[in-house]
Amino acid sequence: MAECHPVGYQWVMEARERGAKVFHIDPRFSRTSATVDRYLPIRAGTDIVLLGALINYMLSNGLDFRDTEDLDGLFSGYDEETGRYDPSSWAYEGDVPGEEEPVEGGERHAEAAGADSYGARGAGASATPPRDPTLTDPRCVYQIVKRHYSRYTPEMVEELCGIPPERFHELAEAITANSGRERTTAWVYSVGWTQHSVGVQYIRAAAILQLLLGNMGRPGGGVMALRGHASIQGSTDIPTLFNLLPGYIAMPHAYRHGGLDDYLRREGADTGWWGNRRAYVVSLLKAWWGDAATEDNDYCFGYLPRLTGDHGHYATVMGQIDGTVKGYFVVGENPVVGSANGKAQRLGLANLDWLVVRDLVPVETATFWKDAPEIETGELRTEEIGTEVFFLPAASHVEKEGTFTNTQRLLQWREKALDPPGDCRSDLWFYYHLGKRIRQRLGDDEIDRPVKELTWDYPEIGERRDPDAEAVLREINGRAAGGRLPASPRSPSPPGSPPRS
Amino acid sequence: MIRQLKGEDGRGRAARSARTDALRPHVEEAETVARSVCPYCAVGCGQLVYVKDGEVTQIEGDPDSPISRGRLCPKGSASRQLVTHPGRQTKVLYRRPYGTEWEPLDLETAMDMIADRVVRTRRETWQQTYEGRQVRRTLGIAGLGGATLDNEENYLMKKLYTALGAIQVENQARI
Repeated sequence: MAECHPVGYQWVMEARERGAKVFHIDPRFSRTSATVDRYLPIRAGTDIVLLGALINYMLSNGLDFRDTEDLDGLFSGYDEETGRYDPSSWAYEGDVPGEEEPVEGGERHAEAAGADSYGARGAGASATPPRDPTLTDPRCVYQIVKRHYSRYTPEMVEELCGIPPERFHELAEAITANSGRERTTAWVYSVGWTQHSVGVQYIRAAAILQLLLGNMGRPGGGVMALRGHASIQGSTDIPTLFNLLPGYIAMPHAYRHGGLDDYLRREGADTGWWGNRRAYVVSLLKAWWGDAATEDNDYCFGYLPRLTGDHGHYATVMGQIDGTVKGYFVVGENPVVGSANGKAQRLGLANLDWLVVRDLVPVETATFWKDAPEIETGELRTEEIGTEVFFLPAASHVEKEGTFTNTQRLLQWREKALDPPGDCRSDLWFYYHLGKRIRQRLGDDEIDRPVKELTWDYPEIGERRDPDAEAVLREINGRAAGGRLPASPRSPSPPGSPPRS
Repeated sequence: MIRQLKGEDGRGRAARSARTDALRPHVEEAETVARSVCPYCAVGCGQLVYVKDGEVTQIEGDPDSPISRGRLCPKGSASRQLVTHPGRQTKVLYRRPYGTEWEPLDLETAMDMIADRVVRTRRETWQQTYEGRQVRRTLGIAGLGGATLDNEENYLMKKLYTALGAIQVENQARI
């Protein structure tokens, strides 16, 4: 962190000056290691053992954190009659929650985590699972977790991670002492976890540990990913990912979902925040198809294309090689260098009908037809590659306005400093004007209706007719069923429902 | 030099000359300054972008940013070079099928040609049903984006691709 995110690291150093204890767990000694209270070298790939042993330490010593005010699983402000919370008892000083803000929890908040491979809300679990408030039933989650993690002992940590027991205990005692009513512990990780073959297990183990210690949803707690790119978080929240629609709404699946009601019934439980998912989905559909989206036609839910399996990056490359994929847009990315198996990437590109690359410089993905290693070896010949290639120069970050979402999910607006040079344009310009041209070319066929009826009327600014990024940003909040833009992103009202109180 | 030999502090008056007195900071001459955000990692440090005569003359840390308090790392400090470096391509390039060289192409023509290809490929590869189930999609068009795209750009891309029925949409965020 000290080397790759030095400006973010100033806050770690400042916290340490104020008395925070900082551990650095890494196989490699770096500038970060040199500036912390304790550096723990760890054998690469053994993080599950260390985290598991910490979980075991908490559970077997009864150190897991129970509610702040001992309210039998409830937090402050709970109203037994309505089953809801009054947030005023724990809101920040001076923060008056909006009247329409839906506040739910307690018994109704029982959403299960689960198959998020096709969405973020997990499986549609029962809202009323069997419960054991004493946490002693051998089949309750608490006891299962306890049994499972009992195998991870300090001795195992020493043997597999290479961390001696006294160092392990120092760590375990420090995170225990710094979690609880008055203090929190944060875990910070990066691609050392996410790009490991068992990265998901690492992060889930850290999440279990933080939940046990009461470090979730509290200032200074949590499990924080240090993101490597300016808006990699935004690219997930407002995704250009095959399995998600904006706001972690799942793309519908041909085998799992029929109409809108069927989709909503299968995509998550009716509890927690995702219990509002009908409002989220409808507001997205209204934003996209405007007046064409009505209650009678499922708000154009049928216009959404259906998935039938994995349509990810590598499946796409295999589709290029087998000839299914004919046209490819590559925008600010260089897969022949940056993705795994560059040769497969290049063979895929060489088999396309057309390729559009947008970047600041002609990257290897744009020039593969003349300088691929396979040209040198004779596996590909420039004269035999039929791919038509368009390279369109892009605007840099100072030549357009818009937002990045940073590593802590803060949206920051960038002002435009000057116009981009020559033919350089923002990707916003490109997709907006491409969409306009496509719409002009379509007829009245049924398959063209989703594009023809799409809302695509952003204000155009200046000589180059840049679409107004602020108007797009506003639309990201969605539209209410009646068509209006929401006054507050916190107040999605399901169609036909009375205002929340 | 004489002043330094006489024992004056080499960091003060002794180091000054007519040339150093004439030096002015880039930012002083700037015509406009825009508040931006560093394009590299996701810490999100604030940047001040100084412009004169249609050129970026300097990029510095923004002291008003609560994230970075005016600081930039060496990479962020050098981000002016990302914007102004001479290797940057500013004209459209076109490579025709089986072609051996880039050719120039007008931006408007390129946009029309790309739109024609999207419409044609979409129609030729349209799948209304798959194994008896309605899918309304094309597997003939795919997209891959980097993780420095703006939120607004990602949104518009996904919106257009989805309306077209192109489902193979990916981003560095997964890779």
